[in-house]
Amino acid sequence: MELYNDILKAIMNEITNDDGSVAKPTRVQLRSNLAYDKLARYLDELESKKMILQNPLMITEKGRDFLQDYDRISNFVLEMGIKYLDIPPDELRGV
Amino acid sequence: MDTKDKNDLKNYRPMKFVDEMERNKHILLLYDDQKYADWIIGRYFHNGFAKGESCIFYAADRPEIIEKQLSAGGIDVSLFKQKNLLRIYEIAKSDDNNKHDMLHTLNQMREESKKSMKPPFRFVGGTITDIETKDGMKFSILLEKTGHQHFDEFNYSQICYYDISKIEPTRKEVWISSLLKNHHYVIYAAEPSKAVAFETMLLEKDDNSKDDNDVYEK
Repeated sequence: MELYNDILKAIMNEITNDDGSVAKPTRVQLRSNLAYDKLARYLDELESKKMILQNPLMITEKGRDFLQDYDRISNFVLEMGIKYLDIPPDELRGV
Repeated sequence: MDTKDKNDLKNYRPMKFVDEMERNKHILLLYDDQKYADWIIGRYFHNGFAKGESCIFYAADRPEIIEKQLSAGGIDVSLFKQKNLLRIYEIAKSDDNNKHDMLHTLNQMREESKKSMKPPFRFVGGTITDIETKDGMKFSILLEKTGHQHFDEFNYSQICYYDISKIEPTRKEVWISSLLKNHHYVIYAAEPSKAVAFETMLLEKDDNSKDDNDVYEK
């Protein structure tokens, strides 16, 4: 989730800097400090979650909503004491 | 509703999410103040009525209490009951937590509750009231898991609501993680500065992260 936030923020900053609505993947890679293959995989994921469009690289309204809500989601996760939903089997035993 | 509440409601962050939710989703509503839960449920039903959908509330409490809550959420209860678009379905209390036949019982309850109403349907359920004990929470998770596994077989959406201040505290993180795992969306109906709604899959550890961990392990 943190990486989604980093990548979406990088796309937003690129768009803001370029004063347009399209970001260049190479610039996003530089800003997010990720290897290109890894960035490509995350971009695919973000597109499947409908937060971006890839050709050309643009952020959707859902992506903007995620950026706006990121701090709240992080606080919720912290407050509830959870991190990921892959609960270890020993924890699930007895549930 | 006073002016401050009206303002808070107008700017309440999860409302946009509620307005844009896709159909046929299983939604977890967590709250610690009934007022905010009433707002969410009110908006969810209101959106349903606007689309001509039938809304059914599974009530473990007395129907009068639920009607009061719905009114607090801005719903004209008498009007929509009269139009046969709203039903408060009282759940019979039972000590028999028959886990083997859970799916059958769920289906039977659903069929019975929507009799003579027109599809599509929206449900709200606070069916498990005993969330203050380990046994109550275990049963709740089992019920949610069974419902979620078969959710896509039916054409409806449902909000399941829980007062998190009452959840059995010793395993709270595991209960909440399990509840999140068995719903598509979560709405945290808290005070306006903390309230949020999102897709639970955002909290799933993705394959890329697993690869990263593999690299570190090597």
